[in-house]
Amino acid sequence: MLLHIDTSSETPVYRQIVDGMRVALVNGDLAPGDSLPAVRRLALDLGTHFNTVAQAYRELAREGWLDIGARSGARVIARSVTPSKPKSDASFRRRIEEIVAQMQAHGITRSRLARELRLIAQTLEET
Amino acid sequence: MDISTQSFWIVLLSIGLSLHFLPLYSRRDLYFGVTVSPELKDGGAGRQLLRHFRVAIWCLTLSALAAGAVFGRAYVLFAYLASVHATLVIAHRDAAKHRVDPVTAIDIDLAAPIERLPGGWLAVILPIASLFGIGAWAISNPATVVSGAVMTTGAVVTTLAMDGVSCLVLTAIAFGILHGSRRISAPGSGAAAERWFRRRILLCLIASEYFLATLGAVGVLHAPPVIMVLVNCAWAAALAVCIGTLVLAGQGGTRRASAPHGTVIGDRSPDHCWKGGLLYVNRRDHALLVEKRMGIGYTLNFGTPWSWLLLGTLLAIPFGIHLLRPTMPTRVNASAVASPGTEASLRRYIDSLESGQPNYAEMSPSLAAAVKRQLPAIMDTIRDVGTFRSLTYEGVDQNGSDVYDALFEHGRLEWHVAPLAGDGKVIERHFRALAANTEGPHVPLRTAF
Repeated sequence: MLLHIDTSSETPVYRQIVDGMRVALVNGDLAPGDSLPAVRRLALDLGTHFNTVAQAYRELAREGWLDIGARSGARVIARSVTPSKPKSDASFRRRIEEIVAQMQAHGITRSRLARELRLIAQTLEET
Repeated sequence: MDISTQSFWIVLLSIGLSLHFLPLYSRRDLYFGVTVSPELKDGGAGRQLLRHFRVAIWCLTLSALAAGAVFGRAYVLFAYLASVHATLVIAHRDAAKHRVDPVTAIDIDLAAPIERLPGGWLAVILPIASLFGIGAWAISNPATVVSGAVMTTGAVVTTLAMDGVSCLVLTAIAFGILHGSRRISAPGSGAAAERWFRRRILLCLIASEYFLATLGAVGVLHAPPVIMVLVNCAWAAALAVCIGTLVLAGQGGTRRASAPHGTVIGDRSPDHCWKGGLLYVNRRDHALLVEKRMGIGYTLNFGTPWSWLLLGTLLAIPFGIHLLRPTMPTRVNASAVASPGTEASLRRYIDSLESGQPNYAEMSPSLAAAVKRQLPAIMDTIRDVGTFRSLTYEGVDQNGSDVYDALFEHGRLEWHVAPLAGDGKVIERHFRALAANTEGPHVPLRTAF
């Protein structure tokens, strides 16, 4: 499973780690019981600070994806999905709108964005 | 041309030759430590940079060879090394004009295989433990160790300690590569080749440890010279094969072939942290070792205190052993009484050496064999110090041997003679040179052979 990080991106590295791992967790590329690299190891491989990776792991643990042991590193755990609340739906729509606006600000055309969103929707429906 | 001149020439020409090819052994997108377009090396600008660098290196090398005939070689070598480093820095500065933005995207394979030491930690601990065991045995059986050759127990321990320290250094490097450098996390065949390259470096380090341990054991256990020659030849052959394959492999081959566009397999260290393209200083990077930008292998990250600690320790340990070494054989109990017959036997031995015919009949077979083996060196020392004048009893050393201070026309020798065997034969005797005609505490110039 590949974690893609761009060190020159405006998005903080810890956020990229969280987002990248969450995608892998949702898609099932990381299954319950899988071990993740230790904080020090991943930080070394990324050339970033330990705290950056530790913060990402803590956030994923708070969301219920990981169990962070004292010595054994992080391990993926089974997570029960609760039905979304109206507040979550509103938050979801707002985030999508924010991302669309951000991408438009970066010069991506409306038609291209629409095509990408359709592709994502199609993938979701197929799975 | 004498041997020292030959060595000087070999060293300088080897450095010149290595530097001639050094710029070629970097990744396609790195040139003199600068991130450049992969096409630069083959283009006119790249070739011109290389040509200028090579002309400068060979001018410096030939100038140093000429200067070596006039000035002190140590000074010339120092000036040469300083000037070639300056040339590298200048080449780095020139290459910086062609700098491009590095690829900043990193793909980390979360399921990348865990790298382990070939053979496990036992494989690196075994040679160190062997040296420790031999050292302990040498201390507890000084007569057995020393009687076979003209070598003090202190010298034996020092030799083993130096070998042990060297093994520890190699272990530290192996540990640093495994746990203190970036892994090859990208997927694909290129990454697999790079992983094999790292494993090959670890194998070379472990093989070096075993060679050092063998050398230490062979030296202390007085193996015949032919064994020493065989061990050295085997090591030279193994080293040549290791270096050859590492150079050919060139960090998994990816240094000599273009990686797919946008793919970064190797180390991703920022350009601005490379000082002159040679020293990596990055306080925000926790890596202890990073991939070299020029040449093959790894270099320290001088931005982390662990590197300085490691470097300081590596320098301090051999220095400490060197400082302790003279004190080892000089612990003499001056109030102890000399063993009967040792002084007379030593006087007869010195007389026999001066006549050029050592009295082997008065020695045990093992000591006689050792003296025969080392006779040329012993005779050189006797010739250097000149005519024998007087012998003074100093006391008994920690091994129970009587210590005598022999004054010669041009120097002094300290002799250690173990109590004679029941048949009156000498079973252990060695010497070391002291500072010529000095009073007071002994200042050893070197430990005896």
